[in-house]
Amino acid sequence: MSEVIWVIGSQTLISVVKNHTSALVLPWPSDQAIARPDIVIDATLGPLAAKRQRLDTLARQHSKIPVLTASTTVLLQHQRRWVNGALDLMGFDPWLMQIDAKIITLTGVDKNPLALRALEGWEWQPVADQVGGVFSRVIAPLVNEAMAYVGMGLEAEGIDAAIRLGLNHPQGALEWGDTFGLSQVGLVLQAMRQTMGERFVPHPLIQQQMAKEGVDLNA
Amino acid sequence: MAALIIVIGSGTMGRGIAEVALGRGFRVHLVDPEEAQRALAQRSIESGISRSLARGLLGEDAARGWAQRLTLGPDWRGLSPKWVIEAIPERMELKGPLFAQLDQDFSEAVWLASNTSSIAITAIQGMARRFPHRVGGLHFFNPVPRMALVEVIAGMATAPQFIEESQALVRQWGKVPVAVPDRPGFLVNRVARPYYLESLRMVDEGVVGMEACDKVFEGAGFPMGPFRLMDLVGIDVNFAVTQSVFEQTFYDSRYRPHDLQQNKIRLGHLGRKTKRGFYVYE
Repeated sequence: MSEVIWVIGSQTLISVVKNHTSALVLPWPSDQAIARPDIVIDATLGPLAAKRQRLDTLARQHSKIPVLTASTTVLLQHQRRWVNGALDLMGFDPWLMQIDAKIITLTGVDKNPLALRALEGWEWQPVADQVGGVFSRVIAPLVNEAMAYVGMGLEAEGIDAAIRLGLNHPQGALEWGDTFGLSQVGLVLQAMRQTMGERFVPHPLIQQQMAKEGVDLNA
Repeated sequence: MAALIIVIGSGTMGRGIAEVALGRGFRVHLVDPEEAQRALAQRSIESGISRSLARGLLGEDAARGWAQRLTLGPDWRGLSPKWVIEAIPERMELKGPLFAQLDQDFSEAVWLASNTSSIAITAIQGMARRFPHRVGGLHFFNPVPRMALVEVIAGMATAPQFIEESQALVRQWGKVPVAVPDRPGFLVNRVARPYYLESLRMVDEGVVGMEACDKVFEGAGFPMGPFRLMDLVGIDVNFAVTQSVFEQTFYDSRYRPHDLQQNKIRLGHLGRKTKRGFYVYE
């Protein structure tokens, strides 16, 4: 019988995971997600109270299962403390998984190799447990910088064309924002702001979008 | 007769701009005070155009007779161009007096553009007091013949017609113009800063190793990771742009230069050009 992976995240991310594994990939929560999962991927960035509650629920229902949890808005260390050893947690950057990058960055690899089974076909790179990870730490500020030009009245197409043609980036900065969602970018920026300082303060347009979507900046 | 473009400065950028204009049928007068530099630039343009023709990147018709359309000299005396494009070193103490002189020497009908990558266009046009409205920025990217983007920049006093004329010129040269505001770093160099600075900070903080950092970004579709790219561009060049943006934003902490870069410069490890930067090149 094949393994069961529960994924808590966007439809795009679920599709990417499905393409990488022979395991049965199920979104959570869903009617099908009743069997005990072998691995859980929690790609959510916030609100943190909801993330913590979800991990609590998982810990109660499926003690000791391996969980790959997004650690770009809250340290893996904190998440491990939340569940007090009831889950085998390993941190990752969900944005790299969502774009199906060749390499996924992971934290806490040495303590929990079981969750690596969810990463078939991916190379992985251990990194220190730091808010922002590696990829998100760069991409979120890129989007933030580009939003300043939107605020100055420049058209998104022009901004992205300049980034793609002038820097050879695979996507324009605003396209990254579309890919991950501006409110999610805001959550990463705010988490980095609280940890590393005011240089990460989300642009007012990002804060407005978060408010529009009901995503609390400080949740 | 094809329009005349005067390009001032025959370094990498100046000769690249001249090559592109010649390849599209324009007449070019390339200015450099050093005869040896002019000869070097002429050879570089010749090989660049030959290469582009061989690869089919240039049309035979437009490029035909390019050598007859190119003149070189130490000054611009007696010439009546449509455009003057400045591409001299990135120092205001050089650009300022040059634009003051150009403003005196050319009539109001001549557009004056700076290929600056980081100096405020408004500061440059402040030196052209007679007709500041005909001064603006045309920021080409290196290598000019291959990079499609040109940032078109209006200073505070630039006429809207400068933007229209610039965009038309840039399109004639087969490139893509994007009008950007006169802000420190304009658009591309400003938005790009986190790619370098956060990567430097992460490595310094021990979040990730330098090579691993490059691999992560290359694995995400970037043609070069930040450290390999800084080595290619030149660590000194990259540092100077960061420093300029930092100073012009009144020391905004987002753009604070990193001492990992500064120390590489102190050691003379400037990247590929010195065979040693963040990596070693044998």
